[in-house]
Amino acid sequence: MPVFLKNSNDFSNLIPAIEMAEYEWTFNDVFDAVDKNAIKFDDVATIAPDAWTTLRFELQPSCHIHNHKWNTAALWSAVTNEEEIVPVPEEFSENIFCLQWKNDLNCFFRTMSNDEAGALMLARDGKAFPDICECLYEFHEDDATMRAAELLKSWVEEGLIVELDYLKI
Amino acid sequence: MNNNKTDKPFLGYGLGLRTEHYEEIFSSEPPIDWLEIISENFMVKGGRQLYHLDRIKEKYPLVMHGVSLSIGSTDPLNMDYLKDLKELEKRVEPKWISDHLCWTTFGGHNTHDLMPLPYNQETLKHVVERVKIVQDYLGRQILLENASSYVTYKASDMQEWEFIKAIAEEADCLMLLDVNNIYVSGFNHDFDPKTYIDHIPSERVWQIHLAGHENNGDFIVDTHDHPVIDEVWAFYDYTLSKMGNVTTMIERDDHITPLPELIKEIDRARKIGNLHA
Repeated sequence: MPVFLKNSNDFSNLIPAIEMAEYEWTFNDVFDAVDKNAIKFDDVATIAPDAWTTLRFELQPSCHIHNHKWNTAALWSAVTNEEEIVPVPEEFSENIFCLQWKNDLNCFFRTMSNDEAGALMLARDGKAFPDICECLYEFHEDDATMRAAELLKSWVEEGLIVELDYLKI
Repeated sequence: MNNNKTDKPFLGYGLGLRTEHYEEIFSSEPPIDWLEIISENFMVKGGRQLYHLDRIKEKYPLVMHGVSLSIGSTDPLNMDYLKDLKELEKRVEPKWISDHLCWTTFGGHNTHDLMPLPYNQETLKHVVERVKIVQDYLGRQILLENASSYVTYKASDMQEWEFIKAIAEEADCLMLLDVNNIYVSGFNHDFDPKTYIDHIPSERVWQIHLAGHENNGDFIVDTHDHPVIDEVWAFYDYTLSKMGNVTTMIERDDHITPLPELIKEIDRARKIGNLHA
């Protein structure tokens, strides 16, 4: 559907519709993705201090990150929930990142701040924890490590991480 | 691959598994002998469907029924589809695998409908070759189901029953007879359904579908959204009188009713079947 809309003379300029179709279609992929058990806080707690320099993450196979120009998530929610008032399509001044994933057979979605999106994309791409901290330094400077820890905590809570890979020291 | 009547398995009386009935199936384990799953609904990597499937498999024998094999298409066989089908087979361990004697794809596009074939030697040769390939790939015989139809081809020079019999015998495959579909096509194309049954080699019929339809006066549509009508029950009785008892199931795809109503139909099939055991 998204590809059809993009390639259609009639719909290719309807960016909100294309974003909506991509968003909706992705839920099918999320729903049907391989099921993996998420790690627990205890798994993180056992990482030796020196091992954090090599720490890499494997995210849920269902994890998808979208970069929306329009208020697509709000539109999708209103339409899906058959709300009486559906928001007017609105173009953002800067793009908004949206996250979709599945944990324990339940599908989830939410928006993300730019710093979290940058960090999560690095995690998804197999970059190590120091690389993620370096990315966050651009947003938070000296508080970057604190922010990384905060994000890691929320990712574990939300069941986004399925594997930790680090040198056992 | 050869069969004779003595090794034809009999699973009893089953139902097409639909999500609407999952909770009742898990909570009360209703008196259904076996369940048929739509293969494509479970050809995924994960998620709730497979989770439920694994639980259902522990309680009921399963058979796999596909709608996308497109055995009659002139498109190449979809080997990715067959790979996924084989993977699902490993997980499900079905008693058998079936699909339809029809075509669904053309030029890489899926019609999402079971389109009828022209019944002639050229089609016969084409389908037989493809059935053999599929059976070799899966390492087992498949069952092919007669689809209902609403049009015929000028290129046809065989009757449908002659065609399906020839396919089964030349490809050495098995048959899933949908007696409602025979009734529907008989009405639409003005042939006697009993003539169809009289020409079918009973030893190859391993399963029967029973379903309802929509009668529009001068044509019938195979909608699977109503109870089986009395005329089809009588035709089922006639079919078993010719073939002996055959594994049978109720197929409901729309206007899905609560399970007790469908179990009444299963029990009606059981009563008729017991007369021919």
